[in-house]
Amino acid sequence: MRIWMVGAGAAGTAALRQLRKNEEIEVVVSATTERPHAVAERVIARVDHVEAVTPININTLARRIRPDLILIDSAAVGGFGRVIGGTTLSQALLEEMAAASEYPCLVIGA
Amino acid sequence: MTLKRPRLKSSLPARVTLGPLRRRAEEAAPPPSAATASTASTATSSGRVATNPADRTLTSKRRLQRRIAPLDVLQAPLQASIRKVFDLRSFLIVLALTGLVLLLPAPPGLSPEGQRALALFVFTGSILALEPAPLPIAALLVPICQIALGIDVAAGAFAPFGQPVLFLILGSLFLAEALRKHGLTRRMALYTIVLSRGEVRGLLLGLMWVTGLLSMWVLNTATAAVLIPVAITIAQRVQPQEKAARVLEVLVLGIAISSSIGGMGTVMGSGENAIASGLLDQVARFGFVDWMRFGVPMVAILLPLSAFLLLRALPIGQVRIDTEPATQELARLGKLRGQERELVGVLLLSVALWISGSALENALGLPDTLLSSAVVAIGAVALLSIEEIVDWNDLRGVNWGVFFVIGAGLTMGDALDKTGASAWFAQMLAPMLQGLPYLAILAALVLTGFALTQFMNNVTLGAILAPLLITLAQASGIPPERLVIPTIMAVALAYILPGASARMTLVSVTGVVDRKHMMRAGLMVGLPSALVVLVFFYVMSRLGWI
Repeated sequence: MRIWMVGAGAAGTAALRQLRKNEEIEVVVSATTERPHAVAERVIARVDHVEAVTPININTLARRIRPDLILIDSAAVGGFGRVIGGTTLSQALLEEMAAASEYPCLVIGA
Repeated sequence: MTLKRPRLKSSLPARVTLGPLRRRAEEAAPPPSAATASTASTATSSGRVATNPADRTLTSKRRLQRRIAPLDVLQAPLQASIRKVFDLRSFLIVLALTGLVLLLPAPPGLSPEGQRALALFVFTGSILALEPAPLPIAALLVPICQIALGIDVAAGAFAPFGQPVLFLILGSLFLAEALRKHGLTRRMALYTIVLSRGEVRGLLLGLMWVTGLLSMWVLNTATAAVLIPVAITIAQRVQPQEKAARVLEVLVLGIAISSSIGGMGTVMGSGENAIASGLLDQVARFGFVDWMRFGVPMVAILLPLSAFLLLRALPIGQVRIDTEPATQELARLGKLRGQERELVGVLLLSVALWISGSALENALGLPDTLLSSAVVAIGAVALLSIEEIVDWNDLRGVNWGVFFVIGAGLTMGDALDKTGASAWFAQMLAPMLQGLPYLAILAALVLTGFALTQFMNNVTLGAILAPLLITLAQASGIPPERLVIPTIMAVALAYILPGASARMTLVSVTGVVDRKHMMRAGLMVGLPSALVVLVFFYVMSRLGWI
């Protein structure tokens, strides 16, 4: 089974720790920085793909990765939190990504 | 389930991230250091050494961007997500300005307490404008400053945070979150897409109406925040794709503008309305319906006018939108389910009670304010919680910032009033206003409000202006609502600069709208709208309806 993990913040790191328990699971990790939480915590050595995943590019990327499941860490679009309404915008973007995705998609840590 | 992994044609890594660490663990090696882990991660299962990861990422990104263009949005803001939380320099400026007012000799006629209230006024204005800390935290510093300046004790300084209008806003925030959680806002947008039959102008107008009508009943920033991502998805279906970026700009600006307009409609639509209404209610009984008498006609006039002007400012040419994905998604979503229907029912019931609450109270002989807007809002939240439509976990997403900014505005107004600073202002202004016709004062206020709001957050500006306007009205002998409501509505027309309102800030942080386009559209839509506000209220005053 191949899982595409979008974002590797606290929730993504927790998910990665659990996914390690099953040898059969392959995981591809995308994040907006080269050193997200999961790398800092040494759960993974590095991220596979440094780019913001958005409703616009999620399917383009997913067609190349061909995951069985996409897991989106809510922190993956957390950059708007400081402005008023930023949290709502981030949550709406997550929902839009999940809705736009052609692959099964779950948001974690929201 | 295991997939026989086909070779990836992209330059994405040919192996997974967890593999190397797992293999090392199997070899019973000690936990890998960052350096060793990084080295391990570049070796493939076949022993092949992969290319430099950074190069690989860049190549992949370039290839993908070529495919995604021209809708390459959201990348920069999401990648630059780490921001400074506290700006000491701005905070020192705030303290210096406040200190300056305290150190200057007191003007004749102003008591020492009044001078300290003036210092609080400067502190509030500057801290909310410069935002040395996130806005909610900056707003919470206002009552602390009030206590530090000796204007009031803690109980008095925080008392305005318990005003009914704040609970109305709280209910509005919860309702917005409930609508977002259950996808009703999004569902309405999908219906609009389908009904537009692919015609972009119709879609824009429809989306603006949906946004505007929702923004009347739930806080406008929350409505815009939910609908902006929907616009991003819509833009991907634009044919031809070369015009997608322009269509996206128009749709996103349309959502932001219409949420501001919709917010004008009711007290709960926007923070500055709540502050103005709260202060008006202190000088004369001013209720929910009183605001709607002026707000709803303004929404009805300004929404179609703004859609027309927006398309003139940013022409989109001949484009169509593929509505099939929206149709399919609506089919997938199916009919409204139990909780969604209940939510719609609660919202409609709340709207009915907000409008008719006072009349029902009188007709049924109910205790005074039992069906006031704040009580209805909190009742609606309680009902949603009992029905498990929202729970406490959902409150994390609530836009608390607005709540605190409104509280700060009310605190400042209260302090100006208590210390006599407002009365002093009134005495100062009275000679200047003698003999001036209402139209001149109205024009000056509306246009000044429209100009100032472009540079300062509209809720902040409303918090600063509302107490001043009430004082001004008292000085000039004009009923306060004649000055406060039109000016506050002009303040809502904050479309030109990113800092003008929370909606425009959201538009700006997504990076989907070019700054020059935002300014052009903001000016071309905002200025005529301000003139409409001016004419509307002048006519209302001539007719004796305000």
